[in-house]
Amino acid sequence: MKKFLMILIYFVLVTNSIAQISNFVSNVKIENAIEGESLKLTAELYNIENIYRIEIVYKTFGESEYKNLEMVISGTQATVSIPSEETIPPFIEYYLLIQLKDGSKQTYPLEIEQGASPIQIAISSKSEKSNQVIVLSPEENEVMTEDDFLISLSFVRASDIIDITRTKIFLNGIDISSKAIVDQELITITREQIGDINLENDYKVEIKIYDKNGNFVSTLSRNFKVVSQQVARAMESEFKYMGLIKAEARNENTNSNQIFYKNILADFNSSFYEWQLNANAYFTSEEKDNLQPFNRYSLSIQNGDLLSLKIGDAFPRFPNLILDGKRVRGFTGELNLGFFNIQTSYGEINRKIEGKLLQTYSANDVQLANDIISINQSKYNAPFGKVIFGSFNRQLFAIRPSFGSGENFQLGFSYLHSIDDKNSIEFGTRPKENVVIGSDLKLSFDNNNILLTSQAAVSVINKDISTGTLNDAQIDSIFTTNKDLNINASDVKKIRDLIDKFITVNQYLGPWNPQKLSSLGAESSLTLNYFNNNIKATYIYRGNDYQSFGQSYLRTDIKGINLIDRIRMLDNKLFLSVGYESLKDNLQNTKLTTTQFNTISASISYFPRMNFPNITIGYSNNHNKNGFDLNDIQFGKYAIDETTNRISLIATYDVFYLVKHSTSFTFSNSVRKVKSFQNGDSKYSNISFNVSSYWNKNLVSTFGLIYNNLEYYGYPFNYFTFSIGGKYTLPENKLSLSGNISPSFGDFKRQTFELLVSYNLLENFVISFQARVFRIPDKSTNSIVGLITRLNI
Amino acid sequence: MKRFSIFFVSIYFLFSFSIKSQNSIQLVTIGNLSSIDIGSIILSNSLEGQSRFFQLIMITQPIGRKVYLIGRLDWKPDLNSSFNNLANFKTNIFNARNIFSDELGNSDIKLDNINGDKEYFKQIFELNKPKGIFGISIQMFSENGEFLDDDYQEITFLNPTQTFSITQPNYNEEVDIGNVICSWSSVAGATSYKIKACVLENESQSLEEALNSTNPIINNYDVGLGTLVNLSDVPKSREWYGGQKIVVVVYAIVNESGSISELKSEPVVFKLKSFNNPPDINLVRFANIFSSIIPDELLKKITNGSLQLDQIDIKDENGNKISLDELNKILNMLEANPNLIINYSFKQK
Amino acid sequence: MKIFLVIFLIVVFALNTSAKNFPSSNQIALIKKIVKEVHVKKTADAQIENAKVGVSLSDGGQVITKSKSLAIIILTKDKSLLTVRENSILNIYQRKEGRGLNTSTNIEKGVITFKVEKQNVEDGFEFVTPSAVASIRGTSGVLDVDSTETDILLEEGEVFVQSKFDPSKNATLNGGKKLVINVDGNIEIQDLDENDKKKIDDAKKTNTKKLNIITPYGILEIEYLTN
Repeated sequence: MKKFLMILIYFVLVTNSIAQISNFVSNVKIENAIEGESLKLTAELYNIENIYRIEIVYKTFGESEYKNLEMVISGTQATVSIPSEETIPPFIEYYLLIQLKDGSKQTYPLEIEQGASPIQIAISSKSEKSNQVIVLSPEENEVMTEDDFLISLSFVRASDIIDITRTKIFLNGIDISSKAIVDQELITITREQIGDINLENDYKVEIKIYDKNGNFVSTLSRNFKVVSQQVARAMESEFKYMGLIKAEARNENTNSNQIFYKNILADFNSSFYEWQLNANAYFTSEEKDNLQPFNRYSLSIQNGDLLSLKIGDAFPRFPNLILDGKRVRGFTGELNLGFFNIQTSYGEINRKIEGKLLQTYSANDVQLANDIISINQSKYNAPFGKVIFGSFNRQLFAIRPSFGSGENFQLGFSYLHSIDDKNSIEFGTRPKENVVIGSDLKLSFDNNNILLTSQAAVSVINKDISTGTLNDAQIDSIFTTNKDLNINASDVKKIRDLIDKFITVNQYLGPWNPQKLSSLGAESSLTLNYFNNNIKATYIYRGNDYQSFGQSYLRTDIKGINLIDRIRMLDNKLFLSVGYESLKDNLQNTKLTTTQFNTISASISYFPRMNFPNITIGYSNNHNKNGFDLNDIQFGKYAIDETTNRISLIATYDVFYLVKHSTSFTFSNSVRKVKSFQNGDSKYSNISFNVSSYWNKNLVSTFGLIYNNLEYYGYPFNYFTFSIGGKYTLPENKLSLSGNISPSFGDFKRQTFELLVSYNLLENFVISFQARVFRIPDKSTNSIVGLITRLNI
Repeated sequence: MKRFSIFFVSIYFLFSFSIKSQNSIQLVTIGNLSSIDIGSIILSNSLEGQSRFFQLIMITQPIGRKVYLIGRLDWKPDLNSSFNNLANFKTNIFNARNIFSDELGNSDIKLDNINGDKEYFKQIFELNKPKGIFGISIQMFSENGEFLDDDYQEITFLNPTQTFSITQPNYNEEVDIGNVICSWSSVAGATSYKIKACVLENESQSLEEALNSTNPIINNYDVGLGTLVNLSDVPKSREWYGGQKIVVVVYAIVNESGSISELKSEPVVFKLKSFNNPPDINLVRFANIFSSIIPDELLKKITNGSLQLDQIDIKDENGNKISLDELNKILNMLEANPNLIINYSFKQK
Repeated sequence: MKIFLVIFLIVVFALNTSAKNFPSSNQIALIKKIVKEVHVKKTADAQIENAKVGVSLSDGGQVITKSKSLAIIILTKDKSLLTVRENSILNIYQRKEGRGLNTSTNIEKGVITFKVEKQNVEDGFEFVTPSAVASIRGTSGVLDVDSTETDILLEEGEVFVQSKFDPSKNATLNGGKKLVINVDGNIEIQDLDENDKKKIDDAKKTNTKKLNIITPYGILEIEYLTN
């Protein structure tokens, strides 16, 4: 009966295959038409140049709807696999839909639309024999991580005629049988047997089973996928997205001056497998043409730590001597391969803002002042003008190739070039250009218990590129007239030609003394983490002319050391921290005296984890002094000799009386002594006490007292503040309500009333309202009132 | 004879005085000039773009009389040395008028003769900027060599740099709103200090970004030459309130040749003490669940409300942000079943 | 007659002996996944070693999970899945009886999630705990065991439970119900409440996820189990 069925199926197949005449498909091969196994179809094609796309249209027995799957065209073949869960006996019906490049369509077999019958593929039931072998792992379409990689067959149920040792296992067509461990009734291949190769891929495992005579019995197959741990997690939901739209309207009334702020933020994050896409836009009413931009927008695509590309506003972080926290509007990206990485950023860091001409002067009445400049005489009928300077458009380019993943080792090299567009505005002063090159190194040993980081950078700056690079005649003029400079003009020309490729060369290019390390910035730190001590020693050196346009707030003309040790004791209940810093300036001897900056600090914290307050006591002493004598008639005004001593105490303690009350007490005292023309002496003491009471899980109340005793520039300033408030949250955080009143009395008079309400209108939609009123007796009543809506998508 | 001599001398002096009164030259320098580019002191013809650091006001009789100038530059490199002659120059003959230093050699007024001390120039070049005290003397002569007038000025170059720092408040210190003492180390050569304070909107915002916001709390308030101020006393463009994080920076204003520059201190962040900041309930839940692993200091900040939810970023293993709603669900799950937590670590910054 | 009696006794004895000494089968289960620290004994006599994916367990094999750890094991006879949650000890035995394979898992303590495939007529599957013996024919749920009490939370299917010390104390538990049995054989059955459903749901969590809380003071990284 079975044989008869097989012959019948054969005839049906053969007849079907022969009966079709097509201009594009010569025949269709079918493999593995077995229940629960994925079914592979391969169409042999001709006239392939006319084919745009091929789909298989199929339905399983008993279903009324057809499904479509696109076939993969490769050479003269198109292939597709029908998933195993759809290979259900007795048959699958299918036809091919061929879309041609001229837009027309054809089916295989022909004229399906006109009523021709689709092809049937008989699906045979699983043979009993193959049923006897159980594929324990993988499951069909399983996604597994490399660590969980496991191919395993159980022959516990197999018939005695099966020879387990003859089993052949093919992974994507490659025979891996030799890797298998055959142990009694089990075959396993794990990650260990496969060897140390990257396994991330789509796989099909085929298992061929033989009997003891070597006769083929049956085939089993499973499709599965091996992914990295990270991808495995990502795939739990292949496409994820999350969005946030936040809109705010806020009115601020300060000294009768009303400003109405409106802003809207839209943030969209999505991920697909390991890829992440982020779009972000922020628009604010604060955006003004005469200021640097405040609107922000960016679009980025990221693949884990591997790749990140961003256009729009970015805040790239390079070694902090070079570029750190600067907004760059343009392109920012990084590629981290581990052994080699590259990071780059290119764009605008300042947009052009035109200055203003306030007043014009003739040549006779012009005065010497920094804001009086030469102006276009024919345009303004005067040669000089007093102006408010605008700011030039400034572009920045930075790149940092690095070697090593950074886990234990990384060596990086950075290059930064930034230039003002001198023609971008009319009323500007001294457009500049900057080049910085640097390198950085990270080394760590013993599980990061020893960490060495270093960075060094050298900068070159041209403080005025308005006249461009010096021409030959100018060089001749300078170095011929000034023979005392003792420099050969032709040498200068050669150097100019070399340097001009990187930066404008003229008299404002510096430093002129690179050999004195005037434009070197360097720092190195060593961290040791042993015996409950965390010791960090840092040495910094920043020459007086070091400057990077990527880092505006770097302290320069300073060198010295900083030591800090954090000691953990008593099973992490006691922490002692001591620090010492000694810095000095005048590195290149460009100042008349040197200033020394010394700081020592110490703190001790005790967190007993028992019924005793947590206590922190801190002390610091800061002393700065330069070499000018306070009594010197000419230079006494520049004398610096200032000392600040500070002590502080913070104690927190949870008291249980009816409910839990978290209390905190702080005391701080600061005394500053300044020996200078300016009486900058000051001293203050501050005592505060605060208690938060948790009445139930939805209600917290707060109460606080502060007393301040100040004296600065010889004037006392004392005041007292108390505060009372609370926060109530409705169950499930639907509504959150908090309010506070805190008046201050004495020399500082200010009464503050605050009310904040946040309501979850929907699960993903929150409205927050804030009203803050500040009453300053006899002066003004100021307020901030605002509404924020927040929608999570 | 003696009488004659007295008469002659008197006549001479009178004559001289009358010439001087009719022909004068005044050397005006930029007040409080504390630093200058080395390029600005190069004496050369045809060098464009020199910055101005002095002005010569010439009054002659008749107006626009043909004159020439002889200049002398002396240098005292440090407090204990004496003045040394650095350079001398002589101009061609030109029509007297008011001129700026950048017109010397770069207009119809050419420098005919420049000589100087190679060794001193080398020293200055090695410093990359003029340092110490410079004495400039200018003599004005008529076209036929008659001395008309002269003037002399000294400029002290202190070369202040961006070395100074804010000594109070400390980084991340919590201060009371009425007692925000801000002090910094002095900058020798600064003409004044300005203060800017802005709100740090969130922890991921860079300090520079915060300082560049349009609506500072304190907008370049000029404190003069003092190095300490109570910020709560300073006029504000907006109100501030407890719980906010504030970034403050001090600018030391320095007169340079051709521009006024602002030396910036490194910014400091401090927090205004708040009583209306009861701890975020979600964070307290979070802290309870992880109390055994969170360092005590952080735990304290969470439970006393000084760390709020908007200061933290929550991400999943792929770096995707987790919404508050999702966090709530995860916390619900972990709170109900702490056994599901299989690993945790805290990496202190 | 005497001879007949002797033969009868011999036969009975032989049958009895053979009944008690059915051959044990080979590998009973395979470790499919591990999280954190899991130890195994491959056989009753083997040494305890660190578990690895792919390690097989034979008769008397043991799985020990440490704190915050878990192991998923798969039965070789029918792909039934057992998830051994943290701090659990599971011993596994299997006997061949005719064509059938009778699997017995002895749980000393801990929590086991089970998804046992429908057993063939000749096969069997049972859990043995300090207080109960539960026979299963194809079902899924959670078993929470300590030295005095066994909780069975059944999602679907049917379980026959009897007291380990007094087989007369027994009950049949159906899907959607919870059974609590103590060492004295007291049995309580009730509907699964929300907490029970949650417990089942949590016990199914075998995938790990991470939560990174980035604060200004440091980064807290939490790894937790999820579905």
